[in-house]
Amino acid sequence: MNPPPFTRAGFVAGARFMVVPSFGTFFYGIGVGILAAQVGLSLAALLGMSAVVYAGAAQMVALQTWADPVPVVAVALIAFAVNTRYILLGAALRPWFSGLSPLRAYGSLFVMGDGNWLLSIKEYESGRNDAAVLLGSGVVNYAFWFAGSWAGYAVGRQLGDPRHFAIDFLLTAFFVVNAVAIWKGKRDLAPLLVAGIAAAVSQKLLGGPWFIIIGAVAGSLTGLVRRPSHAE
Amino acid sequence: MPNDIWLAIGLMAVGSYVSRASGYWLMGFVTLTPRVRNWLGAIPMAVVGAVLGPAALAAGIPECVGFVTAFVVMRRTGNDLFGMAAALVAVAGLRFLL
Repeated sequence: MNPPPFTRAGFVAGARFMVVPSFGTFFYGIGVGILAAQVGLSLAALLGMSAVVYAGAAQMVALQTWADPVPVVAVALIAFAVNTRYILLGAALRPWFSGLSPLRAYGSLFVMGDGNWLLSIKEYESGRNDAAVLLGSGVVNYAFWFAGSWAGYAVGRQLGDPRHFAIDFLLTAFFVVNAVAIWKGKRDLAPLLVAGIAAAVSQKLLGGPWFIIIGAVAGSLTGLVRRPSHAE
Repeated sequence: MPNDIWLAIGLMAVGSYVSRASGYWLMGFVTLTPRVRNWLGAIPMAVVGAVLGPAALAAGIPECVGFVTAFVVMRRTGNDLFGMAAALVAVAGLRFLL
């Protein structure tokens, strides 16, 4: 199977698309930086963590269980468990990325996050299949994440309340507009609703970050149940 | 003791990357039949639903208006930046006023 294009132009396009939404990522990073300072992590450890883990929800949950001595196995398992939704996201890329060299595919996956994944999928489903979009958008998001973590750690409390500018809503708004962009018709209703209900219910019952993977798996299964037809 | 911290961070990195890479890797062993493609194709909207569902439930009036604003502006203009900007203005404005 022919690999998709993977060009510098795609990288740059992805990077540009991600600049505005990354302000939301920056804000989220500030939250992680503040939490890290509160639990007594060193700046070096926080920056190292944001650089090699690069996962907001996982870092948040792990930091909330941080102690001295650090529960090594627990936080490692947390990092995997909280990120299990990425298994689905990576799987969804297979039809697109098939044939791409392992370096390009697995390199891009390192900077895959919810936001730039959704943005990239939108591009792919709109007919623009340059696979470098994921890497370009990921690199920009990564930079803002790292910078936000640092800013939060160093001066977090003095940055004022971002809720005044609704920056905390930016990533939600980003998801809404991209959902509209990828909406293909009635067949999208089932995964959306099933996932939303499953996620809401599991959040109420379980708390914690598990609602995303539970909701996403439940919603995706509606696709499995649907009979493939020639009209699709 | 500091070594434990770096060990923990390193293992977190491994765990995170494994979750990012394993789905893609595993699908390499699966034949992409139409039914499988339907499942994979449902994932994006399912992820949107899973993320937005709880957010919608937790939304106060400003955030509800934000949701609608983002949706309407995006539908009308097709411009995602307008949609996001309009939503933020709506949410910030209503938070200020209410």
